Amino acid sequence: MKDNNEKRIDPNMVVSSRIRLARNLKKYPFPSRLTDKAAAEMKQELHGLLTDYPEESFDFLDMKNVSSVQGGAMMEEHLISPEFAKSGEQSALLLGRSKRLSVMINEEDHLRIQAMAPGSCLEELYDDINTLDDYIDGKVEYAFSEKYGYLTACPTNLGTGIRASVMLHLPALTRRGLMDRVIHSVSQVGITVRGLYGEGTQAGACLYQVSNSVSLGMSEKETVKLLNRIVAQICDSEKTAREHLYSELRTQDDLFRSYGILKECRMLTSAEFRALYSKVRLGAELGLLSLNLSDLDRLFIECQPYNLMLTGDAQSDGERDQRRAELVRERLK
Amino acid sequence: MLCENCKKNTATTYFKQTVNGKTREVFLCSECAAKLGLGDSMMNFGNFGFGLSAVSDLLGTYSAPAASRCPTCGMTLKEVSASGMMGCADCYDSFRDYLQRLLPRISGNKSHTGKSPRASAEKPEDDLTALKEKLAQAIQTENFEEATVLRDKIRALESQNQE
Repeated sequence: MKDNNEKRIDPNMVVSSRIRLARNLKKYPFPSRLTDKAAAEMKQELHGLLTDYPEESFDFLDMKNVSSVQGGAMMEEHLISPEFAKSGEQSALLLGRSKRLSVMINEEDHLRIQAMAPGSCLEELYDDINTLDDYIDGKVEYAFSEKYGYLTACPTNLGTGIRASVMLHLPALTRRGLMDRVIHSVSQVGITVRGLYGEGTQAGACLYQVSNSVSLGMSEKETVKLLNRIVAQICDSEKTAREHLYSELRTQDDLFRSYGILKECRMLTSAEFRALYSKVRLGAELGLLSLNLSDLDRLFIECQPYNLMLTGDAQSDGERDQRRAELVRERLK
Repeated sequence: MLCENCKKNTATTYFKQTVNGKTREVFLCSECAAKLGLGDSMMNFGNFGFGLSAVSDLLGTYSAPAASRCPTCGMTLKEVSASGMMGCADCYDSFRDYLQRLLPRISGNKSHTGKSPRASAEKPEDDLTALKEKLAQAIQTENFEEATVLRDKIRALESQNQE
């Protein structure tokens, strides 16, 4: 990967930014060793944790009352992790009304505080999550060690407990088969690249999550700075990979045809939608199609299976494919 | 830390296997990990219950002493070693030796830098006293690595107070 100071993050390539902080309460064992009784006591204690938070209003959702469809839909929105979506009795979610801030209670750690927003905005998110973390710190006692930092269930999260993550749309690097090289290259500096919904998932629509893998020995601001620097380098590599590739009429034709299919289709599978979304998003990024990127990204989430089941009452694969096509046509009118 | 296979690149992937209670571990660079069929999903701790002969050839043998147990949560070293997860905050003291061997391999020989909770940032004088007590305790228990960290923190605090 080339290295110079001129590289800038291309905001069009960035779908969203996210930061989470892993925190544990000193007085309870970590979630894997928590009895149902202790978990119930903890949930009771944390129920009103953010009631008076001045910056945002929060709702408390007990995960035992959340259906698998609702949980799946929140997972598709990246509000909760796939593991948390399947959790039940011991877990709860404090969800900010704007969905920018949330706190998962009893995921792998007692608290997974999260800030998320569309576009490239890690610094702003860190300011917000830091304020929320300070507020919670005033209400509970965190497990902390001078040497290891915030104590977490998994030692890979020790230190700041921060995981900063940027979701990028990288169709040209994917198409040219260069993603393995990118993944290898950034892993040398403690950065991980994963598929759409975290570890072990497929990249799907050429969407990748780029995040820090080390949190011990590096401050929160240094982590954000490093990640932004690497994201800028990846954007630069994607830009280089796009040169020539998308100036050809044949490739441009492919992007326009994809838009045509989305506007007219009557049945649309999840896999076909992902591939077409990527091409249409690229057309919009290149200025060939006049579409709003954040509207497209919103549509991408609305077209995920659980979201379709939740909003359109589409239960079977066939019903979902039909509903997905209707929704896409409606939005792209 | 260097990759245990090629001994050239920095190790970024940690692989651990537990068979019949015996845990074996190896640290690889991403290139060797890919060559040996261990992709990105292996970058986290975990217990992967499959045997890969090429990897197994690289693994040293390590058997966790079964008697070692965290007095607070009851987690055993064997369980910690198999799952890669701690049971409670006190596990970090209970399994100190295990961590001192493990952590340098995953995050270098580093101590925490960054934010601290309000409780530990307040009252610097009290902190100094508490740190000195901890230092004495660390020396008494021959935990010299922690003692070095504490000593540096005491020096930094004392010089701040003099300014």
